[in-house]
Amino acid sequence: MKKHAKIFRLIILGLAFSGALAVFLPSQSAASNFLSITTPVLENADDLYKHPKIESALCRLIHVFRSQGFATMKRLATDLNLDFEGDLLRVTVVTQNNNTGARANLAVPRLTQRITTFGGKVETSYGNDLQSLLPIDAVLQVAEEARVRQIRLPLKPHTCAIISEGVAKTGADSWQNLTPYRNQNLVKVAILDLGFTGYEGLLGTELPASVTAKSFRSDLRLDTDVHGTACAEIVHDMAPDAQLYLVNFNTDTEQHQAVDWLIAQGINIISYSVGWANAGDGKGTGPITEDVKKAANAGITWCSAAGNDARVHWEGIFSDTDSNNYHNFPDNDEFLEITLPPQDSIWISMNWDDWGTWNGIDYSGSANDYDLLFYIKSGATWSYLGQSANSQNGNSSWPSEEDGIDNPTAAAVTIGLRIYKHNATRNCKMEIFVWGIGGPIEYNVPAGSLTIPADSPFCVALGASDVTTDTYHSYSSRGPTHDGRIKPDFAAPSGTSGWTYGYYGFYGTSASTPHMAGAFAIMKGKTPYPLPKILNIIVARALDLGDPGQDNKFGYGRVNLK
Amino acid sequence: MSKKRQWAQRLPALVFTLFFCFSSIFAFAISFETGQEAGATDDRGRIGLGILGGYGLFANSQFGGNAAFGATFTFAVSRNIAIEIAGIYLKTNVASDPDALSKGKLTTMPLQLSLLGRFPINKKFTPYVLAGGSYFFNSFTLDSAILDGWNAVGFTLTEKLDKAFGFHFGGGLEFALGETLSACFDVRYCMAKGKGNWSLKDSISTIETNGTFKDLNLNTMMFTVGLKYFFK
Repeated sequence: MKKHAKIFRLIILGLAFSGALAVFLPSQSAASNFLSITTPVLENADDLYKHPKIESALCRLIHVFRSQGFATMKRLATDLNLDFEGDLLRVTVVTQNNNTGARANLAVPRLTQRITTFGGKVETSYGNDLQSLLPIDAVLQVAEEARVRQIRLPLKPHTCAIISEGVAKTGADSWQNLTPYRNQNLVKVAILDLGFTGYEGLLGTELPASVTAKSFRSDLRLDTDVHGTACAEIVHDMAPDAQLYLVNFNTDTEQHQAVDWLIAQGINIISYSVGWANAGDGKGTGPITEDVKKAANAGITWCSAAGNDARVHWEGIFSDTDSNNYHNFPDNDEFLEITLPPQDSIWISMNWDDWGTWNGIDYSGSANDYDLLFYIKSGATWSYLGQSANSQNGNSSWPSEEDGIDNPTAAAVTIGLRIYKHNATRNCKMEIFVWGIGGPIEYNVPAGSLTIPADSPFCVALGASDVTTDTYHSYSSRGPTHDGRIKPDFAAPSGTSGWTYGYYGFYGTSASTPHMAGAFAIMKGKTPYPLPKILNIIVARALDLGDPGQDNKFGYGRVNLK
Repeated sequence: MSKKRQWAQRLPALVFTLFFCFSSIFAFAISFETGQEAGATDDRGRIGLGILGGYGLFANSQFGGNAAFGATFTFAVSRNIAIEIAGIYLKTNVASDPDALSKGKLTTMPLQLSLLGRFPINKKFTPYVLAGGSYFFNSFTLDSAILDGWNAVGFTLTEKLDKAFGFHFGGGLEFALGETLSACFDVRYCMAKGKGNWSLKDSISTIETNGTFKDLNLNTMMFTVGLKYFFK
């Protein structure tokens, strides 16, 4: 819009100048490179903008051409992104609607002939429209043809640059026009995600003109998911000057390799809209959080999604009130019921607080053995489906169980989960995530629903607040961590627009996280502050929402750079 | 900094050193001869007050140049030697330098104490050379658009340029318009290195980041004309 306004001002200035020229040099006629034909005169001021058959912008061009010559007119036309082939301007000549039948058949060739006479040519036609190349000073002559209803500029498609509403919400837009102060270095932001399908098509529009893309998947494919592309869009919206690294992986091993590579690249910020369960104790240790720690030690700010699992999370101390070794949920219920929609599947993860010792590579010492059993309900009867029964014997499995359940039928089914104390010396604190449904699940406990590595003290964890209302999304995971620390650290906009997911189509902490990464990036790119100080500044500026002070939903508050 | 650029910066100083040496010898030679013949008056104890105006051109390409004006006080120690105190005001636009000052206006006021070697040719013309020390009163005002931009996001930006010592040398020609009034044509090269500091402060968290810069090239070539009134 700004560019167009500037161009419009140029035209106005040009007209003003040409008007003055016309007063002082009335005898000067415009130099013409075209056919010598009698030119109808634009007689009054209205002709500058209004002509019954000619689009206003074309009228202005004609006037500029007559008063200031071809070169000036062409320069203005080029600024307006109008097409020239040599000295001929591309226009659309629209024939009269009353040209039907035989008349219609004749109208196009006859008009084509007339346009040729005037030094132009018809490129192509469709229906009443003749896409033509015309000398600028022939536009009026063509318009006088009885068969012509209108001469206009061709319609042109525009790329739909979609800027996340989170940019304005967080105040990042106020920062974007600032000249960097004592900072000549580009900020490198990595989007570490599962896939970047379609990113190539967005280069130069929704994404920077060039990015560094690398897959750490075994098949080396980047086009495995659009999720990363959507996240990258947001980072670019927030911090347009940041240099983006699009890096994907599929397993923990691949992630370790990816993080090592990102550290070697000198990345400043990682945007990580991915979460794990059963991959650590929820106290900031484990193989995934170890990557975060390693990155932090290399000076990288790691922004992590808190997770979208508040409604599909349960946690509680194992309680066996009837002494049958099965956990009793409230009211002595031994089943946690889940409704599984038809032809759908869920994945269930369970872990408990017996992770033992983390030595930087692995856990050891988990000796309290619990199992997770699956049932299906038929009438009032539960039928056993199966179980996950890893062996926690002190030097084998981590304290976790998980498995998936598929419902291939055309009807919803009720699944029951039971927790069995196989061999344990104490009642552990159990945690269950149910992936694949919206929830809320039975006995839902939203507190402590952070996914890993949002529990890491070395990351900035993000909860999701609605971009319009600033309310905390019910599904957005929340703290505290299993060792009682407040998380997430901030909330950031969710439900924002982008090319990948459409208008107001990107929800969740996955959308919030790149807003935070972008906030770091824009401040890092514009100021000489180091990233730890930028974090402190963002803390001070956060909009305190929810409970007063730092809380387990909004953290310090919603990200606010204003 | 490239050697070529270093030489480009040193060139004016070199030219004026040579000019200073040659003109001193030349003027002294002429003065010695003509002075004997013309019977030039003894100027001892003569006091003059003057004003000057002209153009100051910074060697630093970020600074450019601008009009300069000032005032002088001259005390003749002998026929050939005088002491001059001059204050010159020069304000110029600064283009942004990422390592030193941002876009803004630099005001520098060198207060100069000079020893003049005067070599009167006759009663009308007195070429002179001069050299001395300077004390630069510097101030810097950031461009308002830059300040406003940072204020809009809640930050305060400041940049300060410290006062600085320097040296200068040059020469000129004094032309007597009468018994007590003279016109002067003066060229002098002023050398100084500036240092200063910058600070960016978040007004909400009060978190500040700051730094210093030094060895800022404040060398200036001053071309001035002036009038001097002598009290004796």
